[in-house]
Amino acid sequence: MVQEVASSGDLGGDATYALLDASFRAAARQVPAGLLDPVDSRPRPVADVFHSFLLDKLDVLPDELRLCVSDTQAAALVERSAKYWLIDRARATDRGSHRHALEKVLRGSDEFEQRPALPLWALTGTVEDWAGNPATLHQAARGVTGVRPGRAGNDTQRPALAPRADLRRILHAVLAAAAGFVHIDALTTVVRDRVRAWTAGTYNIEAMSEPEQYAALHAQDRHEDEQAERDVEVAEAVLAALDAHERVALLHLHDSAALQAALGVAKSQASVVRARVRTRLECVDVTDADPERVLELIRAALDPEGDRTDPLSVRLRSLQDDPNGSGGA
Amino acid sequence: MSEYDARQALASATVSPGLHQALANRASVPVVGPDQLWRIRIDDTAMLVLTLSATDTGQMLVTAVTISTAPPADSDVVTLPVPTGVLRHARAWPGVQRSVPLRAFDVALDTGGHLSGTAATVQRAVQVAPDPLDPGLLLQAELTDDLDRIAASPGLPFQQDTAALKDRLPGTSASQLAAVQAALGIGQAQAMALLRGTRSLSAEQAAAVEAAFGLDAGSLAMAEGYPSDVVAELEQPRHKAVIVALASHRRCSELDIRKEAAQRERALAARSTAGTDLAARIAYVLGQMQ
Repeated sequence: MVQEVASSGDLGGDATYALLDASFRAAARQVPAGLLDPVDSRPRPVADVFHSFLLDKLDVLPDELRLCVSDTQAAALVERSAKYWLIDRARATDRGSHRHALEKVLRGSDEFEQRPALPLWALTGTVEDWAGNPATLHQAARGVTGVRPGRAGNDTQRPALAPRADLRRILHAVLAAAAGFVHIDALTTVVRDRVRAWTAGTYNIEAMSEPEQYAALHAQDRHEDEQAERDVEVAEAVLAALDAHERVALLHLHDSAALQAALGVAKSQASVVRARVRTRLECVDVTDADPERVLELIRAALDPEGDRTDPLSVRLRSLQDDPNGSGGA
Repeated sequence: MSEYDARQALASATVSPGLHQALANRASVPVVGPDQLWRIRIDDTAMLVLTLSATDTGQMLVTAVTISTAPPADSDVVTLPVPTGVLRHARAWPGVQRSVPLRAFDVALDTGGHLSGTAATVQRAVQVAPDPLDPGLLLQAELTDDLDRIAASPGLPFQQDTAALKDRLPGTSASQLAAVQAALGIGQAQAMALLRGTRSLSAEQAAAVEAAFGLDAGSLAMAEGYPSDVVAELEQPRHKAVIVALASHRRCSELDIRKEAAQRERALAARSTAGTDLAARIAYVLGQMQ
């Protein structure tokens, strides 16, 4: 392919098309199929989406490919470019739906008000426009506990962002922290980010390896069945907050080399995934759980050799198929 | 859009004229300096960079540049457009910066005055405190890892100084002698020769002595090292095209080619009388190797 582009100066050759096609399909396999183009809720063939990608990148791909030094590098570059293009596309289509859902919640409650004719929202009685650091809003959203995952009504429907009452609580917390009118797009970003890490309460994964700190949380006379059920709930909550990559990282948070090996990436990417996992886990409530037992359950559920019949694995199977359970890239 | 239409569109997509010209006109390689757009590569790893400033160690601080890859729309990761006419589209990533050795600099794409001040703009770019969940951070980390791989590519070992081994090791003469004998499993006469500098350490011996004395890896000169001026000359971008072509033709690494060129240059220097300088000898041996 590299030689073909170098000699012809265009992308019209067979080898070039084959490489673009294969690299795009490799990228598409990393993005949930249902999110490729859900605008009209009808699945589109990958080839259609590939052609859209080509059209979108037609002005930059020739220079990109001409500067590649090998077909391997070209394939990796196109795959990376396609992967983030697909993620953007999936987010863009989801975003519209999520923004609409949030607007319905905002309009449906007296505690929120909109600046007339503008897509700006605030708690009722607010005067100023918000102009602060987005991190403050994200922090406020993550402080909301007890958020449950949204569920789809049927197989072809996109899952709801979260139950309406939970969305209202998140919006209230975010707008209270903002103390000003916030653009609906910013609100959508913040709420989507929060909902990906659904569950209740606050917990620090670092403490999972220090059970004595949490021993006081255990009710001494708790019935064994209740305890076991609670441990499964917490393990489920931990895994539900993470995407596939992050679940793998969970077991190697304290060993950088093992983390890199498990993820198949170098140190910067491993570091980003580790920070992301820790941030997501801050939203997980482990009250009354046995940290060691929770970790044991998680290990068993993530073990590819496991028999997959333990209660957590069974419950997780449905989650694995639920795009809303994925934290995304 | 059918596959036929897609192929037609691809056939009409051509490389920008500026890039075509930059790649065709590689006869004169400019000196690496700030505010330049380069392709850097080591073996099969390559990427585009904008040069920022020279470092104290003779390397060049660079920032990653991408053409078709952009942060996700909802990311706060900052990128800046690079005002180049050579590429249709280029954006610099201020969050991805590394010092890169000169041996990595492959093709000068744009060294024009219109890039003047771009390095300063990149270095001034304010990075918002990263949210760990920012969707652009993983992409930024991928670029950082690519740049790390190139920055960490091994160079030729070089002779750091002419000091005898005894001047580089801690302890008294007697303790040095005993420790070197023990570390290398050699007799007193051989250990004395190494300590006085009449013999040089092999790479394995250097590693063993470094470990025995708790020194940093690579801190001791070794027999396989080359004079630093030879190493520096072989790392100049003006030799890169030949070295890359040789490595590709022989299916070996650029390091292997540099080693062979350095060995040939040393042999040539030992044979030659006055008249040729180092740069000419290097150019000659690389020409001979082709």
